[in-house]
Amino acid sequence: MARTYYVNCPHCRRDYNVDKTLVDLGLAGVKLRCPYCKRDFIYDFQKKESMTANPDRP
Amino acid sequence: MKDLSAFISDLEKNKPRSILRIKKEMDPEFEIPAIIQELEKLRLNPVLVFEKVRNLKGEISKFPVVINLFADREILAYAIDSSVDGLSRDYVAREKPVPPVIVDKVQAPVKEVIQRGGEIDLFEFPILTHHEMDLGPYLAGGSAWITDPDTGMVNCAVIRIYVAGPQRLIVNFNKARHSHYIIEKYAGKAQPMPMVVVIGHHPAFYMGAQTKLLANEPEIIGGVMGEALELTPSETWGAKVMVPAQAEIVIEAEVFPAEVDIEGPFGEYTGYYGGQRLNPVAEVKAVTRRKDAFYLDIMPGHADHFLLDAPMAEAYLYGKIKELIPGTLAVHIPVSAGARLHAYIKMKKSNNGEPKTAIAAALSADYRVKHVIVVDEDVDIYDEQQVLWAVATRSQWDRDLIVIPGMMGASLDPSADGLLTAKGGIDATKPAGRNTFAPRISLPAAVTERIRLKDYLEPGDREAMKI
Repeated sequence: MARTYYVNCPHCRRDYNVDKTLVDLGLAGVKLRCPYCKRDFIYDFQKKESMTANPDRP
Repeated sequence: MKDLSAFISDLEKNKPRSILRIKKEMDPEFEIPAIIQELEKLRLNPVLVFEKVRNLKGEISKFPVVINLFADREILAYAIDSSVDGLSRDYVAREKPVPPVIVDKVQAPVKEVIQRGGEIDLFEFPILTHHEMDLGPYLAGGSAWITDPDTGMVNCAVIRIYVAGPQRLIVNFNKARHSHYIIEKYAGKAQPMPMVVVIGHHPAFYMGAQTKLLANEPEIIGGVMGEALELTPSETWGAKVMVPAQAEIVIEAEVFPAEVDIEGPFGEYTGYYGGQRLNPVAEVKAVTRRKDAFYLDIMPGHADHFLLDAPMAEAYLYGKIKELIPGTLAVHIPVSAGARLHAYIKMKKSNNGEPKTAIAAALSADYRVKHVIVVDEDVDIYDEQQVLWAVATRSQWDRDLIVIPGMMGASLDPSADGLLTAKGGIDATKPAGRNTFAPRISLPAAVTERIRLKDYLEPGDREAMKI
């Protein structure tokens, strides 16, 4: 079982890890910031997916 | 009075090989950490002064960056007039309260420049981004001072602080540390918490601030420095919150416990990134500094970060275990485990229950210590090859291994379940008593004292081997 929770940035599509405290809160809409492209997005920890559309996706 | 500037001048005069000035222009993103990594490959850890570092506006900053100040036990020992071997012992001897003295602002170098309100711009400073996946620039060398609202005691901790804007910080308070309990008190009162971030002072100041004692820490800083710490009133809260007069830079900020924002990832002592989380926001109310201030940074996840804490933690553990087991001889917290997670204990034991008692004491005394190995007095705990040899040849894990699940540990350990971690220890000592164990191999002393390698080598070989 994975011990680290990763999210995928909807802007640059790169993965990075979030802390267990944030995962355990299980919030539906949390603003996160990608450490690579520095852009913000909204993430749903209940559905385990980003709520911000990928602007680069057709 | 002791300060960072005088310490750097002292090193340059008396220990010139321990300090390096770099005059080439540096970017605040990754370039200084890359230099440190190159030096570490060469097994070099000098104090580094970077004279031309760009600030967060892209200009050459007027503040030289000092980094790697804590990366060498010899420098730490020098800072408190000790030796590498005597560092923990001498630290414990100095770790006694000395009341601070109050000085007027006009006598305080840290008040040479005072900025308030709209004058404040943290982006003027050469604040580094250390690792590739760090969220951005971090104050990694600040000693954050907060005051317990009930007791008035001041807690000092080097914590990671994300610089989110010219006057905005996001502060990481570890839930297992005293500072977390203090911010919870302010949260309970629905009050902002005053915080002073001290950037740059004599290394003994930082060593004192890393005390593990539950004390009014500025008093302990005075003890470790060997002189009463000079304090002067803050700009924001006056005499209610004091700041160190001889500091290089002081940031005064109000922390809002209920207002959180994104913080992390950040490369940590474990060698991994601590994940993104929500942490309290702080608003900068004033910045005061010397005219020619140094900007101190600490390189996370490297020797600079490891050794800022390890000797002090060793001293604390040594004192705790020695109280229980008089035969305790030394404690080493090795950098191989981030200088936090492992502890090696050397003892001359008098009964077979002492090693496991020492293990339980060490695992409880410091929440971060996760694995403990206890060895006999003939094992050099600073040589990990010898420690592992003792584990290999003196322990049987069905009787010598302890595991305690569900203890409070380091949440940054990626194998842990948040704050919960399984801890353990190995008794790698021989049974107590005489002639209870196999004898170690050795050579006759009369021969080892007589034989000198250089006497048996050809001149060319001596030269090649530098003997």
